[in-house]
Amino acid sequence: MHGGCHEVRTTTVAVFGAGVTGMTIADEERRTHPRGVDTPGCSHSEQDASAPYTGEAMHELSVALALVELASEEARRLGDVQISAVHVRIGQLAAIVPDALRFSFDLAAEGTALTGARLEIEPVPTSVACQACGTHVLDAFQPICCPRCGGPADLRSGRELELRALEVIDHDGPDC
Amino acid sequence: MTARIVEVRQDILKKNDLLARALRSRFEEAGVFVVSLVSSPGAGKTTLLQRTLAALRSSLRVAAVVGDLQTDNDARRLAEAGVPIRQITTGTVCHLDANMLEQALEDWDLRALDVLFVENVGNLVCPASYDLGEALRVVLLSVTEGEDKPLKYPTIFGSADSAVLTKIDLADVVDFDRDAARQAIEAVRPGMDVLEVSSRSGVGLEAWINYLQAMRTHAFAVGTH
Ligand SMILES: [Zn+2]
Repeated sequence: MHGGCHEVRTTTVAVFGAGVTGMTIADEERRTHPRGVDTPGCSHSEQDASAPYTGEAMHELSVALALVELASEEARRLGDVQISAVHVRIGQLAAIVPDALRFSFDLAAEGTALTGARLEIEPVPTSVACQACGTHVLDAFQPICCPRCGGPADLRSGRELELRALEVIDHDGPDC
Repeated sequence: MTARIVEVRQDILKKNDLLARALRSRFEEAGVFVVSLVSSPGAGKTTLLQRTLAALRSSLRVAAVVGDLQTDNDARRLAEAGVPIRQITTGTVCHLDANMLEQALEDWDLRALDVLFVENVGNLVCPASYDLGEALRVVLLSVTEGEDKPLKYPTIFGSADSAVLTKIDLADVVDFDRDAARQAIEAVRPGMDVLEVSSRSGVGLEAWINYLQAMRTHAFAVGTH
């Protein structure tokens, strides 16, 4: 059998699946990125946990720049529209701090067709599929194996960095 | 004025993925085996790479691209091995991406190489999201970092093909539990190959070199069918 799964499992299954829609981004962030511990944010912090904040949002900025580029391309294809919101799905394992992404998005969007657009972030929980007993949602930092029987399981979600949709306001014909 | 939702459903890093795919086929066509190394800062990537280049250069044409936030210290240390070294200075960006690698490879004749190493910026988070087109991604974990690190950074271990426990000569000194580390790796990446190496004492280096050669042979055996 695949060793490790039973022995190193330390946390229990979260009720994430049921509660995900009611969970605020801030809750989500506290759950997945407990700052001050061994934080999986962008890890300049990892070098020295006591060091001052040194542009830790750079990872989010890289992602935000790619997002703005992709969303702008999509917006262009829609013609003469205004983008009021950008919807993204971000996996729990993608190491993104939502507030840092929002901050970076606003910076990256400035001067583009996305200026002023809202960023709507849908967190995607980590889930695995176990051959023996189905699909389960995992808690943060939980080993990638079946939380019920401890057997091996395939990662089903959690690494998403997806541009889900654009919220568009059409400029209706001549209304003047 | 009407608001509507337009579905897009595309990976935000799609551009990088496409570029990495193009690089991967370029590497395959050129017959160069590309190995990337990822780890925390200070886990011993550069030292292991130095030893690896020295061990391989008599039998294979090797080279390395090294990513660094600012200094060129790593590149200078590596250049002592007497093989081609190129540096990518990322500034404030905490990872290499396919575009940076492609630019670093510009005007480099890949056909003149057998193995190309890519040393990523020291970071266990961001590199996980960026495919570089490598054939083999190796994550390094030094014994001084603790056995449970794979559980804290499952994504980078999930994105890698093999793991190397470095500074293994210090295992007893720092009370490092190898079995616990192997179990943690197995938990986040079932079936992953795990090697143990000390660049200082040389323990495990031969096995690591043999492993690289076997993976290279395997990659080309698969590639030609
Ligand atoms: Zn199960």
